[in-house]
Amino acid sequence: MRLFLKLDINSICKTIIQEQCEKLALEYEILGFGEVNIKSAVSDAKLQELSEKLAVYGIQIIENQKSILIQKIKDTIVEMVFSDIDTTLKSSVYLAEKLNHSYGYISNLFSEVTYTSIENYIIIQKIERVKQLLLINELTLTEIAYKLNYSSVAHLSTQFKNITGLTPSAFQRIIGKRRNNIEI
Amino acid sequence: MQTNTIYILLADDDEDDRTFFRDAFAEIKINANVNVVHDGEELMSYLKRTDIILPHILFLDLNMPRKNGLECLAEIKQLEHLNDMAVAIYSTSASEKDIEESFVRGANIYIKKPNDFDSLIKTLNIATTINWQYHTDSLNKDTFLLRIE
Amino acid sequence: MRIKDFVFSSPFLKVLFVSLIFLLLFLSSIIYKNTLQVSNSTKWVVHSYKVHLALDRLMLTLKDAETGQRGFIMTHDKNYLKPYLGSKIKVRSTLAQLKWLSSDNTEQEKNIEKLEEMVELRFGYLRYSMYQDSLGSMNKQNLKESLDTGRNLMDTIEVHANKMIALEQYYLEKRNENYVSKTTVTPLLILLIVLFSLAIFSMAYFKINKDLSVMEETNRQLMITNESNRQAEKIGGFCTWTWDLKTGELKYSDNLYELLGCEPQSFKPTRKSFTAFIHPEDRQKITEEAAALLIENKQLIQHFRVIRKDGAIRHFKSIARTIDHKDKRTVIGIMNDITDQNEANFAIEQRNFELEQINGELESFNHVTSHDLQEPLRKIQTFISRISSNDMDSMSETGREYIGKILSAATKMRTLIDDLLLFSRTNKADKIFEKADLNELFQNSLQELAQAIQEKKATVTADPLPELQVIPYQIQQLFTNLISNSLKYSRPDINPAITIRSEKISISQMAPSEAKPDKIFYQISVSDNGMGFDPQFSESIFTLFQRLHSSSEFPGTGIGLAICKKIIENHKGTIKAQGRLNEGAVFTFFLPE
Repeated sequence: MRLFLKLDINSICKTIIQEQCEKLALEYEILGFGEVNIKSAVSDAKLQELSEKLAVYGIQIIENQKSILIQKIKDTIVEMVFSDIDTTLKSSVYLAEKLNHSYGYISNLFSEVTYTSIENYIIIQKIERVKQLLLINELTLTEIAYKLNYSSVAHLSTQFKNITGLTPSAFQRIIGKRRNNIEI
Repeated sequence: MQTNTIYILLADDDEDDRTFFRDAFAEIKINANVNVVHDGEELMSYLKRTDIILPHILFLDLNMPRKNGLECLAEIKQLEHLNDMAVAIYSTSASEKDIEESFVRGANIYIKKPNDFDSLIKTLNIATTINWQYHTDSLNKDTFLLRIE
Repeated sequence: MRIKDFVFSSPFLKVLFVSLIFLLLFLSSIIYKNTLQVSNSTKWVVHSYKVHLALDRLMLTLKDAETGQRGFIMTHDKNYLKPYLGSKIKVRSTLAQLKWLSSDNTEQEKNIEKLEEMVELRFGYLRYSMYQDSLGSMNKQNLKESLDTGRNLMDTIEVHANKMIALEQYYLEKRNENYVSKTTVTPLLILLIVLFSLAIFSMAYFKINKDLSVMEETNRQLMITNESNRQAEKIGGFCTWTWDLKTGELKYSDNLYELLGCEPQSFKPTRKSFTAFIHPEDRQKITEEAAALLIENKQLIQHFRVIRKDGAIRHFKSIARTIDHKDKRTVIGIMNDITDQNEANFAIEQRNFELEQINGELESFNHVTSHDLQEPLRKIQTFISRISSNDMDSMSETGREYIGKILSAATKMRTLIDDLLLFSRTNKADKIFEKADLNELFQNSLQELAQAIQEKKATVTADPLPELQVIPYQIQQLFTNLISNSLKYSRPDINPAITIRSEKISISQMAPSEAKPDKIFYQISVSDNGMGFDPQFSESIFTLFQRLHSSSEFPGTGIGLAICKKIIENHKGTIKAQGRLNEGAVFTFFLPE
């Protein structure tokens, strides 16, 4: 039997961090998605241990300041796209407010460090969300377009095609076939 | 993060294409480590070696002697240690049948070999950076499909 | 059941017939009885007259005796005594006759007894008078007394006789009355019954007549059917047989014999005689299957070989089944000689196979050549692009010009190869038909052409399109090809306006030759206000490599519309083009629902 899961990454990560911190007897506080405040004094050895434990789950402790900001930008974008918060707000405004930096600065930094732009990153994340919704198969393409604040289905289709090179229906068909194929 | 090296492997039997490929990556402003193998057999034995850093992305020609691309793809999908490696089909063919079959069998990217060098650079750049997003941001690789013509 | 049907139904007629017989028997018995009564009453009249006559004769005899006696007494002439002497015997015989006549009537019998007494008494007085007379005149007084008493007695006798006659008359009348009352009812009864019988007879006659004409008509129809069957068998090359399972009787149609190469009815139809014609290798199988048919009572289809009388081997197909009618089961069978059909089928199959092979070879040839041509061409193009971006500056003017020409020639070749590949892939052998929304496919092709539409400042309007079972990307290709065709052949002075119309039509609106009847089609048309074309090219425009313009005017390969035609043919539809030079073109295609 194959099960298809709808995962809540946020709570999974939280649980893992909680478990690992408690194992190492660390006093901690989860501040938001991807940010933990360790209250007790931590030795380098202990930090190394935590880093190793979390690495097993693909969780990395980010060290330099720029990387931390980049990660925060990414997290904010992911949160923005996946948690269906007020999408009418312009993303640039939202990011600037949320991260307390000018959008220009954030944008430049992002392009500099990653291989892509913030706009492109948002689009990629949005398309990821579309894929997820398409595969859950609860909403029609029109409903998805409305939910993710696209001006039209055509707009969504075009963006989907730009990012994936496929139409949404072709994507749906191929993934469906692939799942059947694996099952067989 | 730019210091992070992207490991790239190309499996193609055509010497000119391998040259174009290497030359193109030389033009792309990413820190890429490009390796090449000459056919399917060589590819599979390379991937089974333990002394190599596994590539982040494999560019796989469909039409190769000894073992063709789709056969390699099927074998790769059977090997658990290659689960994280993205597979980009890199072929002359643009037939819907080849494209769909490659995706269904687990390829992530399908690239039709471009007709001029500039397009080649652009195409390889897109494929590599998007794949990098998937790699670094742990996006769902199971639903990572990209078709570039 | 309607009344009329009931009246003419055979059970009803049977009941009627039986009751009619009973009625007639009843009628005869009544007539017989009545006739008997008539003769009876005549007898009674005769009887009455006889009694009357006998009494009269008695009285006459008595009177004769009296008169004779008186004459003797007066004259003493012995001649007068003659009637007197004979009277006694006469009276006795008359009385005996009377007694016999009245033996069935007690009242009259009593009267006769009384009469007899009185007659005896009368004779007594006659004798006494004779005696007194013989005594002579001294007893004149006694004689007179005796004569008077005799005279009175005679009167009494006469009264009594008259009474008897009256009584007899009374009986006669009574009988007569009875007879009359009976005989007046009888004729009426007879009349009624005769009329009734007449009605029944005419009804029966009518019915029989009608049945007879129906039967005649049925017979005629049967004859026609038989004859047409015979003809049909002859023309159709099949034959029939029946096998009555109760009697075991087999019947073969004439054509069965002919199919076996024999004269009609030239041998007795038995299972054995037919089996002898079946090819020895098939015999066992056929008999076994036939036995199974009798048990399972299903339709049985058999194929077997027959060796004809002239030795030719023919393939037969036989269909047999049982039919039950009342308790009678019959097997009916039809047999065809399918040898020619088999041979024709085989030839067609062979042909098809060859054609498919050739077609497949052609297709793979086309595919392989265009695919394999791509590789070197791609390299040429890539190398040129590298030269033009790296080494253009160090080249001479002519060198740069040549590179430019090589580049454009290579691009042209690329287009041709791409189009040829597209054409060779536009088959349906391994394509999957699925339900697709044509609106979506249409929108996809608009997106594909978005740039060209914008550049040409074209407007595209479309009716809502149906959802159909199609090969989706081929239909999308169709839209793309037709719209890009309209964009390409637009007039330079007018913004292109492209209109897509969709209509659901039944086949009756189309020419009958264009598709199978009784089907629903969608008629979708793409019309533009472009350059159009000369109507004489409306057929040839779809031919591969057919171009109406020079490549310097409009570059192209002449494959686009050929692909459109192939796509529509793959979908079992038709496509046609109508054009008017400098006014526009309309491409109309029909897709089955």
